Amino acid sequence: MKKRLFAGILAGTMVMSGMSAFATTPQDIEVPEVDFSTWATAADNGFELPEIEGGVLKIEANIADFNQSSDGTMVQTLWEQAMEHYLGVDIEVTFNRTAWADYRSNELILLAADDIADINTYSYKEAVNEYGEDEVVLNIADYQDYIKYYWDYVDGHPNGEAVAKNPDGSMYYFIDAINNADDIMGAQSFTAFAYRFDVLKNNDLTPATTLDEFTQLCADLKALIDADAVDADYVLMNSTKDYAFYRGFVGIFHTWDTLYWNGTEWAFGPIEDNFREMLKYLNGLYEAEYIDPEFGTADGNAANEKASTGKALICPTLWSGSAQSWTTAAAEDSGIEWGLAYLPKDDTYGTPWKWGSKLPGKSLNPQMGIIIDADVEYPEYLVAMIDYQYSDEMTTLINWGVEGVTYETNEDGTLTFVDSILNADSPATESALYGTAASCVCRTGIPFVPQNFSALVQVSATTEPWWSADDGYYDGKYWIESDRLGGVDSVSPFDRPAVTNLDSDQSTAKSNLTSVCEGYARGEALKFITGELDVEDDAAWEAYVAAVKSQTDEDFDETIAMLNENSVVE
Amino acid sequence: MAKKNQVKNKIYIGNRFVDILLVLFFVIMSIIFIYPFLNVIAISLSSNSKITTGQVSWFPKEFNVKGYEILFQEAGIWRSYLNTIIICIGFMICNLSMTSLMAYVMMVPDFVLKKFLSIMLLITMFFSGGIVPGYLLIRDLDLMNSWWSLILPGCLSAYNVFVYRAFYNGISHELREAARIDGAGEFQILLRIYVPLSKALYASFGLFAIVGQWNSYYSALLYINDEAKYPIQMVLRKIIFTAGTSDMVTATEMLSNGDLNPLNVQYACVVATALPVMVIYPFLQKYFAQGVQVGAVKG
Amino acid sequence: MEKKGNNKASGLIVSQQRFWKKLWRQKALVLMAAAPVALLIIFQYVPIYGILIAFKDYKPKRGILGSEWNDPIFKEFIRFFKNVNCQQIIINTFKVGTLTLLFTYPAPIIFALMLNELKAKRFKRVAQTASYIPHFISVVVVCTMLNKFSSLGGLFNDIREFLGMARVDMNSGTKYFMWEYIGSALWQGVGWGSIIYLSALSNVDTSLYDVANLDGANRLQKIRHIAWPAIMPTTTTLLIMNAGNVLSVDFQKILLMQNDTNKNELHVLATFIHYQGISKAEFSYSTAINLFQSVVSFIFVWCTNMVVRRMAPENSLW
Repeated sequence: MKKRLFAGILAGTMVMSGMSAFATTPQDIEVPEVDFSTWATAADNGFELPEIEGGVLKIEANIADFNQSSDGTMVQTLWEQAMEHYLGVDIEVTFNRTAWADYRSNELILLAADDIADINTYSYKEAVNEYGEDEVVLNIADYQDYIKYYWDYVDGHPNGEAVAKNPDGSMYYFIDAINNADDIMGAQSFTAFAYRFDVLKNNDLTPATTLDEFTQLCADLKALIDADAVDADYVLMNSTKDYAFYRGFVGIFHTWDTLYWNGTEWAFGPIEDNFREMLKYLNGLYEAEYIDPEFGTADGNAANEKASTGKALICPTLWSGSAQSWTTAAAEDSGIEWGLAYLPKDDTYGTPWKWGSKLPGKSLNPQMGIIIDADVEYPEYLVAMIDYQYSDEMTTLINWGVEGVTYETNEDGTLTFVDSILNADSPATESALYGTAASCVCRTGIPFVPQNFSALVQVSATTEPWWSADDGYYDGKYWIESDRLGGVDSVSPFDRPAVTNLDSDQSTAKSNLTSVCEGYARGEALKFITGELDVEDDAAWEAYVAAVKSQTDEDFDETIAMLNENSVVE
Repeated sequence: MAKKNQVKNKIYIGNRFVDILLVLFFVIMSIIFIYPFLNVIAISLSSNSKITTGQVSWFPKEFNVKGYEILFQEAGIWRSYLNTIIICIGFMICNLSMTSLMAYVMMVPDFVLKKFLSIMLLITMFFSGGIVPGYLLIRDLDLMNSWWSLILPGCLSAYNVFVYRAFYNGISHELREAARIDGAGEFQILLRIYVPLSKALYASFGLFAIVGQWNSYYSALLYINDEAKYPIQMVLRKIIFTAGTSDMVTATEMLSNGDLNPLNVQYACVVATALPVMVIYPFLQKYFAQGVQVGAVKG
Repeated sequence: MEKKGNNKASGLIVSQQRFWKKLWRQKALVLMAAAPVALLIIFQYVPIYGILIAFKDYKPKRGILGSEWNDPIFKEFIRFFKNVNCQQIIINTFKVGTLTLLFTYPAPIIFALMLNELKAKRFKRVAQTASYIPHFISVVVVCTMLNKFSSLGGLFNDIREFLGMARVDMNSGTKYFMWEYIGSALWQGVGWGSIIYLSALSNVDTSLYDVANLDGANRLQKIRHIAWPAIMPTTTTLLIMNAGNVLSVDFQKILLMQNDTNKNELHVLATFIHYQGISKAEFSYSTAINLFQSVVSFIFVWCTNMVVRRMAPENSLW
């Protein structure tokens, strides 16, 4: 028996090792010769860099890896050549790569142990400031003479100076940035509802543009289900228990699911009157039995199953790509087609807010970026090096790759990826083979190098069916449609918060309020939707508000007041 | 006489009945135990569409090996398997030997330090310095990037020592006394009498040590930077992340791409971790056979 | 009085002398303990100073010892005990831990004894191997399955319907939570946990069974008088040590099983630490809560051991 077992394992192993032979890997791609003579150098910029012993700059970098490692890719190889050209010395970088989720769990331990590498990706901004004051992290403000390109992004960001620097002028990080040259102020989630287009088309219905229409549509669809004209169980479903069902509706009611900047001050969404109005509305939908009773408990796999087998007709909580993935997974003969339409509008509140919309032009992405060890031997070089990643020639290389190989320049000066990438089954994965960061699959250089948003939209945004009142049914991309259909008014103040400068105790108080109170509110808000708590009852509502406030260790109202006092309003 | 026979028969029939019930119980239990793993295997080998629509239960539907392709395309996977085997064996040896030594001295009834050592051990069961001091220690001992950092810190656990001691206590003390009178030293007694008489103990704790080490990744995440030294779990985590749990956009993008479901990869990884250690057990089972040490044990 | 004191002192000296003498005689044992004790000191006791973080305002540049003491020194503990949910968290933790222990501790013992009763050798091996497979399935996969089985259209509800009960969303609220939590722990752990008892059972002298058969002993008598004594020391040792695990709850599983319908009712110490401490780098706070948990666990083990020492001194830990 054992012999057979072994033979089986051995055979299986051999089959599997055979599999590795087929697919293309990044190493199969030839690295083209690039002429760097027209590219900038540190010397051109007037930087006086010290002499290095041995002429080779040795760097250790702890970086986060995304879905695919940039190791050995064409762009990564060229990044190193370009860096050497810019700095005028040979560099030798040892990368310690860790998958993003694991990286985050390690990050704080390395900081706390004062054992970070020369250069590191960071994702906990508050912690970095604390360890910066503690002289674990280099204060790059001391080496401002070696910074040139980074300022473009700082200046482009609203109140950028206050974001990049602490009130005392210190800067412990290079902040991740984005270049949104085409000013696409779109989002990638919770900005559109997904509808069963096949059901709507068959029954001469259209997605809703107003909340009243939405209520009516739910009633119509419910009637169709009850009459067995449509084979489904419920009208509305949630995409996973990880998202509160109301995440899809908060923007419509101009409130938010947690602490947010409302345009004039900091506010806690779940205790606002608007939020209560929204809960009343959702309670109405629930009482009418439109909502899948498992909306708060079914996980993502269960929801995918429901959507792809046609158990529900509308999903208000989802990310770009989900609708398409459900259609793809559904059985071919089922005719199931999921598509998207912008959030319905309620006249009381006006244009619905969207979450996570990009800033126009060059801007910063404050939660993450790069830090340097305070004890490095040649801080000048490292600062100059990271700064160079923000230059246009470098971001073009990292995002687009090499002209003629991965992209082409159009007559109007814009760039387009080559057809072999755009027409691939998955343009993102295909472009990631070359190591372009636009793929989002792979982040090249020392993450994070500013992303070029137009490049990103070209390869890593899925085309999905859309509907709008003016255009009817058509194909579009989430980022672009959410920008176009929502317009400037739909940009939520949440996405353009005032700069708030906090010390470490204050930021602890803030994150407490954000996470602990939000978590508690989610559980209680659900009870208002299902009617377990009566949302019309003022006493119940006040008890809820008081309970939410009591969750933090610090005083709730004082914390909000403190945040407002420390905010820099333009 | 007849009556006695009747009683005997009754017992016999009753026994048969209990035997049948037992077999039935274990058949049902085995199905309950095996089903989820079969389901994992089936999902790892099915098409995206069948997985997403929730149709896979016992057997793969629309056979698809993409998950395994991704798994075995990973460059370092075979080396990491080898690394893990070395680490596991090293860990097992250290674990068994250190635990035996400690348990033996703590078993000797009149050993003066017995109580002191017991409490010293017990404290470590509940109190530890936490992650940061542990990290600093490994760094200061210069064990970073060395497999010793995975082997040494956890190789002596209070829990194991106390169980070993309970086992050793089951072996007749007269045997020990007799050996001492014959002039055997303490170490010899442990090696010649206690170890051979505890084969089942070593089989089970050897298995625990190997499986525990096989499944662990956290220490490696902290202490091993060099990919060439990665144990298998680190590589598998990397692959699972590759399949798209770290970034919503790419995750959904890959999903909508059609033929690959993240569960293909995730579950292929479960199979790749579990199978190699699962096959160890049948080889160890003979040590659990009863009555191997007839006569040597008080009972 | 004075004389008595003198006697005591001299007695102490005498016993001390005796101690060193005895230790010298047992030097072989001391030598054998040297390596494991060294490991213990280096890897467990050297970093134990980390506990001080609970009382300090930790600054990495100054190190743990050099950082300043908290003011007041129990600052982080006070913060925890003042938290509105503190009481509920502690109660929850005890509840989950005790109920889990109540089921997961005896189950492997019974399972091993039942396996031991199986006559067919080959079937016994298969059943045994099957029983430990669930141990290899990760908690994420287990929870995915639990979520599916407990849903309205899931397997558990199919069974309920078969038994004539109404379908309910068993993922909702806390009503079915404990059953699922313990049930899945049993499913994953019973076979694996029984290995240790099976190895204890292998120490049984088979001739005892022959004698028992001749005497006409029935099945239960044989279990009571032959199998049970063989595993008794192991079961007691494990009971004492498991008493210390009452507060350690599988927090990853709880996190995965949580949803908006039950999360406010389901907080335990470990999830609280996770949300408050680790995810935000509040090392002092999380160390303080951990220390609280350790002290309580330690007291539990101490008490259980005391009880055992009264009843069966040879099986106590010290």
